[in-house]
Amino acid sequence: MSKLRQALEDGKFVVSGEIGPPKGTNLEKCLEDAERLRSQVVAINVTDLQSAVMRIGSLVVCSKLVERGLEPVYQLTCRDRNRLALQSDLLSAWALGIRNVLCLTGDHPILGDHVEAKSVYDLDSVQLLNAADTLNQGYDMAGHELDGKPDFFLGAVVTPAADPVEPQIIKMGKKIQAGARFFQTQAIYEPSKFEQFMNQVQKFEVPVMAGLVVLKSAAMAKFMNSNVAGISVPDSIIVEMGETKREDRKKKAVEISARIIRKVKPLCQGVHIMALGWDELVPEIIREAELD
Amino acid sequence: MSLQAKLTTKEFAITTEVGPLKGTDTTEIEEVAELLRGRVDAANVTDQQSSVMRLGSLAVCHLLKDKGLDSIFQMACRDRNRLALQSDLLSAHVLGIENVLALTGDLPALGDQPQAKPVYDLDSVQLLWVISRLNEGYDMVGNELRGKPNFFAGAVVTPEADTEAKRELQLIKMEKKITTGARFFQTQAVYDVDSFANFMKRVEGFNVPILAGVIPLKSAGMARFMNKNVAGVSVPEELIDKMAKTEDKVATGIEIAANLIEELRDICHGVHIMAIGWEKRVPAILDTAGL
Repeated sequence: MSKLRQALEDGKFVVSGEIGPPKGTNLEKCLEDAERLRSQVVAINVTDLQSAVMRIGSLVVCSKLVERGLEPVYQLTCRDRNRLALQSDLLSAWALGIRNVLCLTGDHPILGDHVEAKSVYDLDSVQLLNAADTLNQGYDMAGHELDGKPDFFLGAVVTPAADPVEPQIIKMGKKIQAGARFFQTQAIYEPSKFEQFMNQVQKFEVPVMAGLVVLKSAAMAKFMNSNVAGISVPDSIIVEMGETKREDRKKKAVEISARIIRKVKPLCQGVHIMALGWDELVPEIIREAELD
Repeated sequence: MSLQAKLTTKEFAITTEVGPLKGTDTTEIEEVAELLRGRVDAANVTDQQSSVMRLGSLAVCHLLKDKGLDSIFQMACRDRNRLALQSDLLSAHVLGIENVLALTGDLPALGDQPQAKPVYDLDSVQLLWVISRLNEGYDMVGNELRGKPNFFAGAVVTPEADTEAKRELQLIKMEKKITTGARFFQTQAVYDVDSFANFMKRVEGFNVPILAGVIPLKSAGMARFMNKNVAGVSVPEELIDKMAKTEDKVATGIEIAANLIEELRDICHGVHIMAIGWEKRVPAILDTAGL
């Protein structure tokens, strides 16, 4: 049984983390990052060729986490594999002990380091959720019965700070129909806007975990505002970060992260922390946000 | 002894093939692994063979390794782009997989989900090049890797292509594959040993170990089907006759396969037995062939 599913069903406020596989076969640092999160989070997302940069696969890193008694969330995108490979990799994931899957469409190859890579997108995230849900029921996409079926806890993403937000909510409904049973959001920086969003999605009755990207600098915040769809860091925070001395940045990052978490805690069922290299700050963030 | 080491010693190597099921159930494969351990040098694990969706080769190769059976990770270009192919290769290394067979892969239209998008971002020749590059510690675009694999890469060739022109093409392709990194070959099924001996003479200069494919016959019908539908497979009439006339198809099928193996022993570096459902009978075939 998925620990993540159990924790959410038990009504606990759930914390999840994230690690990114390396560009190579040396998993030492990646597994160290995961180990550091062991007692801090319920589950750890493992990204799938994030930003279309070639890296070792989420599948094998997730399997290593399983071996170590950690709980992975297998991120799977539609960019690189057709439906045969996607369904096959889902079956493989189950066979390797993976129980949670986050289904994503995936960034276009043009954003990555192999710009000539063919973008597959045989399925989109809704169809992938549907395919995974169908496998859970013991059939492949074409209706053939399986010899042994998985029972994944399926998740998807949503972007509460998108403007307009209505399309996100419509898509969220579609994803739930297709099989999504938990959501992790794109990073939140404005708790009041998030509150409005949560009011609108109450009706769906699915657990939502607020995403948080740990801010390292004012420049990073500005970069994300310009380049990452659905992220909106308010000026007040950018100024706050800008006024912080370089040597105090990590402390400020913890402070801001913890503040946001404390504000969103009453509004949702958990938080998903994306530390982007500053993983060592996660225990402190959790402490300051009074989540422990 | 690893497959690579075995082929270097010039001892006769034996490989076979397992096809994962459509599902998460690995009981059958685990049973086959127990039977084959110690009898074969390695087992290929097919990759969505015939474009039918199945449990992945990566996970099953890992399972075989756990059971003490060396595996050959078959990788087709049909379903994954260059990002996923390279990524899965790195993953394979971490899972302890040492051998890879690079294939282009049958069209999705032939399989059980014909609407699947054919990817073919790379072909088998390019995939072999990518494997070589990863082995050197770089990805396709020249980024240095943090930790690199060390694959023994192989490819396929069809010696009994039905026209001379097609046979020429096979040789040209074989040479390309060797240039980009193929260090062993497994062939499509051989039934005419003399013809195969000719093929072996033609490829002598390439200096690569070749394992002759052997598909045990289950019935006359199967032989005729393959003759009609599988490119490069040509079962001679006399064998079809034998299968048609026998009262014990299993015994005769095993006997024919064993005979072929015995005759092939002197002219190539090994055999690759594609049992197609008869995986549990492979030990019997080997017993009969005196291996």
